Amino acid sequence: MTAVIADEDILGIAGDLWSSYLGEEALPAMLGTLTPEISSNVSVFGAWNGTVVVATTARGARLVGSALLEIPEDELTKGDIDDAVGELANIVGGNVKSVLPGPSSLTLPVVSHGAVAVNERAAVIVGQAALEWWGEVFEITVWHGPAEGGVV
Amino acid sequence: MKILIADDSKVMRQIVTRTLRQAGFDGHDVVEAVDGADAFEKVKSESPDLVLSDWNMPNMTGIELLSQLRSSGSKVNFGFVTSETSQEMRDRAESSGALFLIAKPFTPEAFREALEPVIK
Repeated sequence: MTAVIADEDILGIAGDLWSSYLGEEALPAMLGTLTPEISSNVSVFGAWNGTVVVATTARGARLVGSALLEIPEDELTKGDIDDAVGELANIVGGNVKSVLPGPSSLTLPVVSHGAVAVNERAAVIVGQAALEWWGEVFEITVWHGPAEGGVV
Repeated sequence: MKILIADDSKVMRQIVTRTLRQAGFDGHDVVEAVDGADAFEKVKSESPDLVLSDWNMPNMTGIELLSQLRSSGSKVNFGFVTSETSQEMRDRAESSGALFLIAKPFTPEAFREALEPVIK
């Protein structure tokens, strides 16, 4: 049986992240409204195999970088933005991993410009949620499978 | 005290530094390491009183770092700051010699609770 994670649980994980590090709540948003401009993903492998993807707009990524580093947006480097977005996937992914069957391991985050290409013939979405923060949408998707991870 | 923060993310190293201050632990020297291998060398060169380490890092993971430190005879106080918080990870951390595991995302209160017994 495929382990799934409830969309409410994903929203709860993201809510804790936003409250703790970004200073305020993010509101639930409608899925399917985001055209990803930057994405980060971590893969889980072991007793459960899959990929956790966090995607947002370029502005969303800059807002996160600025908030986490406490510097103005115009002082952010590309490395800062990638680091910040990567940490979102790391934190969400690690928390998702903790509620799925174990033991398993987590990869380091990988940042992509645009959407992450997941092998949809070999992986299936088992959890998904969207949030809105400062007018920008963040989508979190949990893919299950294949054995080597879902990212092409 | 001197505190070594080991995390491959500069963003996270800054958040940890900031949270130490928010938790009331300002006034301590902070040294940063970008991965486990860097942290191992800096424990030798900087002699920190406490290591706050991520688990998942390139070159050497946090659990490998702790294992290497203990194998080398180092008894430095060590705690994990990680997004991976299953009971299995907590048990591994404790059995390897870590004093605590703080879960990301963390609050200043979580830092205070974990570090007060360690930072006098």
